[in-house]
Amino acid sequence: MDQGVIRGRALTIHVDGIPVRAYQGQTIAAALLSEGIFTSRTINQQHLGVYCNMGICHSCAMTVDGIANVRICKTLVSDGCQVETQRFSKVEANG
Amino acid sequence: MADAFEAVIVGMGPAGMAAAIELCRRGAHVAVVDENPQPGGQVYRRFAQEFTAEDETSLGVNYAKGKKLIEEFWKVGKQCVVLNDTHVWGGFADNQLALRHADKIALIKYKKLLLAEGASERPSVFPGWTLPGVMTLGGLQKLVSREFLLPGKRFLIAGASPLLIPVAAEVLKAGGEVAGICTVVPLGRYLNLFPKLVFQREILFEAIRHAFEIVRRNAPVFSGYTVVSCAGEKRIRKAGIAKLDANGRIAGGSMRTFEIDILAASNGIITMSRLGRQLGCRHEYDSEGLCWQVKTAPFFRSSQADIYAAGDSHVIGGRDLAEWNGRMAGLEIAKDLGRIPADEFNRRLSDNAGRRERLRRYVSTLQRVLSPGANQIGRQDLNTIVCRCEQVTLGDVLSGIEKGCRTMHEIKRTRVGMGLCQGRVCESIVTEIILGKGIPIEEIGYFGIRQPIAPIPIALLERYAAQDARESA
Repeated sequence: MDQGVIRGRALTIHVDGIPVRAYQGQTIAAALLSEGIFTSRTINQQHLGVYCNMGICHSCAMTVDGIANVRICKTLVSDGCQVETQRFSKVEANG
Repeated sequence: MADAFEAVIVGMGPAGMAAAIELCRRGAHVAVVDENPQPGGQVYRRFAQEFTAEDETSLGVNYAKGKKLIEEFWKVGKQCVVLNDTHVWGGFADNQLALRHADKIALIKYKKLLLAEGASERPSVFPGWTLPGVMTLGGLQKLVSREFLLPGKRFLIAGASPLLIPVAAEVLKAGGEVAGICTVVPLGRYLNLFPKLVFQREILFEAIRHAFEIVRRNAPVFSGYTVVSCAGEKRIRKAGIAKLDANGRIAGGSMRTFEIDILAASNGIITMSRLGRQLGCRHEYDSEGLCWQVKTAPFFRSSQADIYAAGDSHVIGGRDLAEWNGRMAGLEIAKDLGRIPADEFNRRLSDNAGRRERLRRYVSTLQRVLSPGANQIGRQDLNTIVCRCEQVTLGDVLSGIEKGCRTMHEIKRTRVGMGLCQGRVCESIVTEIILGKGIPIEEIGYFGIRQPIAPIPIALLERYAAQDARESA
C-alpha cells in the first residue's frame, strides 16, 4: 500500500544474507512482511512468525546483528543490519 | 547512584500520560518510562516519525484524540523526564526500578510508583494458530493503519473483540480483500450495544462508518462462526470456519473453507499487569473480563506501599476510562505527596463521577456483549498448541491436570508458560482450561513473575555489575 503515505528513506537490510529493501522508521517485522518473509524462527521445524506485532508474544524473535531473541516487531531497521532466522529444538519436559 | 523521582509512571498510554500531566501541573518531579519510541501506548500509537501521512484525518477518531492528549502531554510534561525506548525489567527493594535502554542498564528510585502497563489481547486458539500469517487483531491493525502495510491480498478476520469490526473495515479501506468476517458473537447481540452507544457519540459514528465500509465492499459476515482449522506448511494458506453446537461439534453443513494469506483473530482485551505482580501487589480476578486486575483501595492505591495502578492494566476500560482514571491517579499521588490538599482531590473526583459511571457501564455492557463465552479452548483437538514458545499442547496441559497440577505454578511442570514470552500469551488460555475442570480461580492463581520481567541479555547484567563494582571501589 503506497497511497496516503510517504515512507522514510530507503535502505537495505540483510535477512539470512539476502538483501531486503526497507524504509527508515519501519520495524524489521514490517520490512520482512512486505517482502513476503513470514518465518522468524522455527521450533522442531514448526514455523513461527509475527503474531501480536506489539512486543508481547516474542514469536517474531530473530537474531539481529549477532544478538539472539530480538523482537523484530519492536526493533527498527537500520542500514546494513543483519537479521537471521533462529532454529530451535524443543527439550522434552520431565513432568 | 540511582536518579530519584517523586513519582515514576510505567507506561505512556492514555493513563500514564494523563497522570503525568496532572502531576507535572502540581510541580512534581516525574519520570515516565515506556518501551515504545513515542508516547501513546497501543491505543494512541503514532506512525513512525520518519513517515508522512498525506491525510491524517483518514486515520480515524482515535488518532485525532490521541494526538490531542499527546500534545497536552508534551506541553505540560516538558518538566518530566521521558524515558522512551526503555523498559522496566524489575522492581527491587528501597523503591528502586531497574531499567534497560538499548545496551544500558540503570536504576531509578521513586517515592510513588504508578503502574499503567496497559493491556494485551486474549488469543483465539485453534489447530494451526501458530502458523506464520496468523496474527492478533491488534497486531494486524497496527500493521495496516500505523505501518501502512497490507501483508497479503486475502484476509479472514475472526474472533470476539471490540477490534473485530474496526480491523475488518481498516483492511478493506486499505484495499485488502476480506474473504470473511467471522464473529463468534451472533450479530443480533451487537444490538444490545446501541442503548449505551447513544451516550458515546464519537464511538457510535465510527462504528457506523466501519459498518458502512463493510456493507459497501460487500464483505461476507459469518455470524456465530468460530475458526476451527487452518492449514499451510510454512505459512497459513487455508482456514476453516464453522458453527459449533453446545458440545463443540461442527453443526451439520456449516463448515466453510477459505484460501487466504492472513488470518487475524483474537478474543478480547485483558489486563497486562507484570510489574504489579512482581512487586507483590494483591490482584483479584475479574470474572466479567476474565483476567486478573490489581486490587486498589481507596481509589488507586495498591496493597503495596507507594504503589498505585490505573488504566487497562488495572481495570479493562478502554481509552477514555483509562485517561480519566489516569488523571485521578495522578491527583491522588499529588495529594499523597502533599502537593495538593485532600479536598481538591475529592472535588475533582466528584466533579467527574457521572461521566466515569457512564463510561464504566458502557465498558461493562461491551464486555458482556462481546464475550467469547466460557471454555472455547476445551472443545479443541488435543493436539492444538497452547503454549507457542514451548509447543505444549492442550493434551499435555490436560494430562498435567490429571496428574494433580491445580495451580498456574504447578502446571508449569508441563513447560507451559516457560518460554520466551514468560506466559504472556498462554496464561489466559491455561487458566480457562483449568477453570473448565471445576477448580476455583482463587486456587488456580496466576503465573508468578520474577525479575527480569522481560528477557534481557545476560551480558548487559555482567557489564553493569562490573561497572558498579568499579564505582563502589
